[in-house]
Amino acid sequence: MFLDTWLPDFSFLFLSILVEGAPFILLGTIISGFIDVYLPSGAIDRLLPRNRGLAVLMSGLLGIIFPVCECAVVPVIRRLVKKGLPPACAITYMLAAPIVNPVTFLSTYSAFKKIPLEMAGSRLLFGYVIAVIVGLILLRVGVGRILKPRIVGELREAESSHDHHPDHGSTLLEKKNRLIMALRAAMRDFVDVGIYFVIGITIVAIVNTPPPVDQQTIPLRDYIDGTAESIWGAPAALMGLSFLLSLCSTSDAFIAATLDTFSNGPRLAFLVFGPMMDVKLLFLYSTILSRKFILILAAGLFIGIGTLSVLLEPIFEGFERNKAPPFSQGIQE
Amino acid sequence: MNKATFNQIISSLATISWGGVPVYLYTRGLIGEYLSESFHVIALSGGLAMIVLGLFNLLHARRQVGCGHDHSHEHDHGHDHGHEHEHDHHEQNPVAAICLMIIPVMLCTGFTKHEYSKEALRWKGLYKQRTLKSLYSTYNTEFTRELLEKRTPKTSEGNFLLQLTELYWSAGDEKIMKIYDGLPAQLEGRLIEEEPTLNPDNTRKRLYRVVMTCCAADAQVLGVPLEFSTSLPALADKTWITARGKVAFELIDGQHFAYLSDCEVEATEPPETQNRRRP
Repeated sequence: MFLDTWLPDFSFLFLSILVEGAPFILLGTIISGFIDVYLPSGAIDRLLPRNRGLAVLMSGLLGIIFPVCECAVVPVIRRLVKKGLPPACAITYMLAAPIVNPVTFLSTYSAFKKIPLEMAGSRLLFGYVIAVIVGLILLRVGVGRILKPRIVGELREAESSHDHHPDHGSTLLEKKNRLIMALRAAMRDFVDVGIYFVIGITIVAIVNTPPPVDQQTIPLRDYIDGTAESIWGAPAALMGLSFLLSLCSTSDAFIAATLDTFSNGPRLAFLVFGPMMDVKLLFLYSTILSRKFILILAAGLFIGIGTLSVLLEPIFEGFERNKAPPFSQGIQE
Repeated sequence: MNKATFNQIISSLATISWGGVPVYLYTRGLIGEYLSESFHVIALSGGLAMIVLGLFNLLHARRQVGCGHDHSHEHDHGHDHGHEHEHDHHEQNPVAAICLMIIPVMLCTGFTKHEYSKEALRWKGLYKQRTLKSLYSTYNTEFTRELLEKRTPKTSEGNFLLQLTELYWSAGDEKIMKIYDGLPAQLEGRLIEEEPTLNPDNTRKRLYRVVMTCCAADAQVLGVPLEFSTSLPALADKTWITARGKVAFELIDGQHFAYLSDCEVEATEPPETQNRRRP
């Protein structure tokens, strides 16, 4: 039984998540490798406003210019933090970028056929507000309580050591060396992040593989559907689902659109919480953030997003009133 | 060989092994079983890029390079800048790279059967019925039999070419069920045995399709029963078939299910895109 069905099914799911996510991690690590070698320390920080509050507000919008999904953003911010970007700004960007970007906006727009602009716009705004709130709170928290001790050590070492100014007048040999260094750093980041990614997707694959013993076990989705009528239970269940499914933010809206036994508030909670916190991200975040901070962040996001989705539910529900049927419009045209 | 070079080689091999998976699946025509169509090219390009990155670093594993930065400064911070150095000062554990990157990928590539087992199909909802209000709520009152007939192509025998997904989700809404009820239809999907408790007279099989949004992990399996008035077809489970019959609905335990009655089936080639995305 185990070898005949469970292991092939697990392997099938494991590989499907791997081949979906790995290209995005690679993209992020190649960007991070080039940032490492070609971007001078503090350059990004200098681009942001000196006022830290404004810097956080702007960091939440960086995804519009640098659109990356949640897998790709982790290696990028890891490198940016090492290059001097304040952790509050980096985490704001990390949380917002998978949602506040044109690709996610368009996919959400096309998934919700009846109320496309309302859902895509609400998701973007909801995600931005949550990321900025987290960033503003983190302005008051010490770096040592946010980042891994190893990263803090590297930052302190960098501060006390030399400033890396890229030498733009370097020779051809030096330029080649720098390319090798950039790709070497990219691969090192890829392996670093990949190791944690494997742990995350192993758990996701186990959760999604039918258990080898009790075939009468009820699939997760059936439990989740039973909470649709509960005011607090519905967003909690959908956030739990997004956490376990670990979907890519560029296409999770197509799943949310099918969860139509739920109202719009819980579905938005699903669409905002998932790209900020899921099983694989839990492990990816641990490449830069301290474990204690990740747990606090996860709990804070869960409570904050869940509460906001419940409070704003009357607004979200109003979207569907007085809407003309898109299908009939298409036919008339 | 020093430790840094050894680590570099192991990391290169890990990166190449990861890149090999999507390239292998793509070239074998199996990628459609793992990912929805929108991810195919991304997976192939990513796989090729991983292989190039790994090979590049493997070829330059022994090469000592400086960072190309201007190190001229006048303070003392305890180390010598005459040497060449990397920007990251930590070293990866090669055992972790082997155990967590190379071995799992090799094992999973060996064990996968590139599709769900029957047990997993059942677990993913093969015999369940779910409703999707939004599919038809977008049509509101304008969705009529005339509209259905107008937008749905027909075969030369007069059967409407329905998608299994639209028939599956038509169950549950009285108004929509009336529109589909009795419609001569042709569906395409994979054949599998019917759940014994739903097939007391042994006159049924089931047609199913796997519907995925991103990858196989988020897939749902949608099934529609096929009722035969003659003997059951002698086709193996999971064979791709074309089924023709009349749309009908039944109520089981308070829940409506769509099915095809008076069915005829024939084996067919798998379609290019096997896993339909949700409408």
